[in-house]
Amino acid sequence: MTKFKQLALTLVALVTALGMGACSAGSSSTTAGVTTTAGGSTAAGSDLAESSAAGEQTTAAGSTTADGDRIKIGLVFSLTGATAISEQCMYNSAILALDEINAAGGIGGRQIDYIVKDYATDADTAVKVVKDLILQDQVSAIVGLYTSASRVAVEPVLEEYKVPLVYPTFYEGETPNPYVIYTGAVPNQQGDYFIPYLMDNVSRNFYLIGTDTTYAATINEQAKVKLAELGGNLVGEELVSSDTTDFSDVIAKIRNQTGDEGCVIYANLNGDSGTAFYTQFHAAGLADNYTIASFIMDESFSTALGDAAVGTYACVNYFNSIDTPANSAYLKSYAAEFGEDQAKAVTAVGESTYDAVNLLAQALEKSGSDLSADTILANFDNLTFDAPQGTIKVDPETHHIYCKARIGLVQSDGSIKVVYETDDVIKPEPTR
Amino acid sequence: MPLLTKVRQLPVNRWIDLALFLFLLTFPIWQNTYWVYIMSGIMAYMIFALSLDLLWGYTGLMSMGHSVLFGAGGYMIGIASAWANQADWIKFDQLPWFLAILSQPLGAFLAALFLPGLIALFIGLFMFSGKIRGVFFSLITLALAGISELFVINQSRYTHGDSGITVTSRTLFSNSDSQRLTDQQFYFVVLAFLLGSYLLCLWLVNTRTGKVLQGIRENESRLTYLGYKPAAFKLFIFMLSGMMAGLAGMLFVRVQGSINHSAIGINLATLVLVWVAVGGRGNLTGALIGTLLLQFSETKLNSVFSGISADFAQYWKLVLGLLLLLIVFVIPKGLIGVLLEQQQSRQGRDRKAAIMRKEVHSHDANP
Repeated sequence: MTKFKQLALTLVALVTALGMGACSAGSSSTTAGVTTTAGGSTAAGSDLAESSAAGEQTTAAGSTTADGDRIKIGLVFSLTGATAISEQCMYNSAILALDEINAAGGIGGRQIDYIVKDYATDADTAVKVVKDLILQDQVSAIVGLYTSASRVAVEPVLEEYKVPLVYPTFYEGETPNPYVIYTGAVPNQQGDYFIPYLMDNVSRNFYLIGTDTTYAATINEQAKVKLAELGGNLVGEELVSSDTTDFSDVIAKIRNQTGDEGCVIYANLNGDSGTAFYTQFHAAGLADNYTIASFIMDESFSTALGDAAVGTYACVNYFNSIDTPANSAYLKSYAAEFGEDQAKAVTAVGESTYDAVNLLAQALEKSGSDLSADTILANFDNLTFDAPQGTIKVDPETHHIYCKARIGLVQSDGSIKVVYETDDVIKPEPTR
Repeated sequence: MPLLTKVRQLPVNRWIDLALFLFLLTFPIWQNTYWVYIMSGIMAYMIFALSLDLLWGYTGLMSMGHSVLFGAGGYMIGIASAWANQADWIKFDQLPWFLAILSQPLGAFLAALFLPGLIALFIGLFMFSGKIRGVFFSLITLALAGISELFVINQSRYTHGDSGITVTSRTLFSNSDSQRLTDQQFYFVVLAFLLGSYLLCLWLVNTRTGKVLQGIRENESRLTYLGYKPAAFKLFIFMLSGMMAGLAGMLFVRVQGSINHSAIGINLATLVLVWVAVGGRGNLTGALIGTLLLQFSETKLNSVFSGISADFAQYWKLVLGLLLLLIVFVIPKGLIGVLLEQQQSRQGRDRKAAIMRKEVHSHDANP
């Protein structure tokens, strides 16, 4: 037994020593990571027929330019943790965009080095890794984050060390920060069109369900205002805690409080909770009279749910099925790098991450050699990008994007068909 | 000579404590800002672990929801800071009466210290007068942690729900935005509090009260027969531990620059149990070393693994998990517990040998 104890003690000592040793070697190991990804970029480049020449150029540039001529950015996503499934597509899209930019010659001849960090859906870890990126790796900008909690938590760090963050997730639009560029939609680019469409095409009765988070609560609050304005009928409202997976009582309530005339179930539920609701709702056989409409429905969700999602409505600024040349090019290269199956589950957050990296590259190019936060942030003003969802523009006042609102209907194969889209891009109004 | 023997008989873990504090004192000299910041957070967690060690290690009350007290302290600072800087999400013109004290800078400090104490008093009154002990105490505290997390998410009017609150001031008292010590300066503030808390714990556990607490751990009924009132002692230590946890929460929020519901939930409550269990219960050093070791390797493994390759990043948790399992299976007393055990058995052997020698001598003297 004592031998075992000694073994354990030695092991622990070994790990500590390793950790201490890596303390100083930390930066060199990340550089190694970057080199491997740079190698991957040439492989991606060869897939795109027209950029094979550019690919050679890249390797030439890479060998001649010194380290000082490279631009370093940080990527922060949950590779582990509760939201890792949603963020996988964001991470892939970021890598895809960076590889394409590097293969096309980088930013004014400078290659982008990127350092990837995992924040494991935990706000405190997010602060840690963002500080790591800023202080140890000295990145010029950061792209990433998904949960609102993590974004709010890193804001003081961004302000203290003056580093811009490009945040690609649609969010409640509550407290914009000057150091953050938002490339996702805000509620006025979704709900303002969703509710009227549903009232005209489905039913005037609404039952609101939401996870008890700032995001869902804000959306339901705005839905109520819109309903009152348009003379809709609010049948009931329910906020559930974020780990709720049993909805039998909620479903019973819906059955009781709504008559036979039909009703829109406006459900904005997070992750597992959302999956459970759709499945149980479908199993209860309520799909004939009631139609679920939700902000959180996307391609990853609809393919995972199968039958339970068919015939429900979704509302974001991007659907996989959009027919634009930019979108088919994006999906094609995505499929080439990560596989056909993965490309089917490309979602709005993935697309907006792709946009985020491309907009950042433009801003960096405009900034030239001056990579201070103020310059980079100012250079985002009025940038446009021919994104897969259509042309988007950065609003100089709020640093959110102008985009179209789209409403989609889930088809039996899991894809989402666009049934409505606004004629023009909509001005973002984050604080309303 | 007596002093020397006393020093020699000093438990081995006190030397480790000394080495640890010397290490912490010199740490900012040879490390950069990032590691100074990481270590400040770890030191705040160390105070938290010490507070649990008083309760669990010395008194035998295994609180599975100690994060409630940690988070209560942290949220006081969070709300005070949001109010002082009029954060965008604040929709009220006046702090409610029960939070009015937070408008004063010193008031927030005191609230962060005493509110957790009050919560502990309240919970303790019910539990200890109701003679709830053992696993039931653990279960009720565990439930409290779960409830508190939901409570904080629900009360978004004051806590900003699941998004959490940013705290941009890095000072001890002031909550205004412009006040900010550097990471290095604040490091020494946290270190001072850690040293203070450690000395307080060390003093307490060696007083008569400390001995009674350990008596409660060993055999509560016997202590009652001896005329002590265990409930009063348990209430006292629960309150003290709560205030220390609140202090830790307050410092952690200042270091981290934000607070959210994970600081009050079951996750952190479990983590702190693991730190103390791995280090070893009931000797203070275990709590310090366990926290340092696990928090450090967590940070380190995460960055090393994501450095190797992004696809590899998720496996660091596996490595840490295996290591934890190994420790719990092989040395259930914890790292420091094993060291102490070895020292004690060696001292026991020495003493036995000395007695044997004496006996042999006395036999020789009177044949």
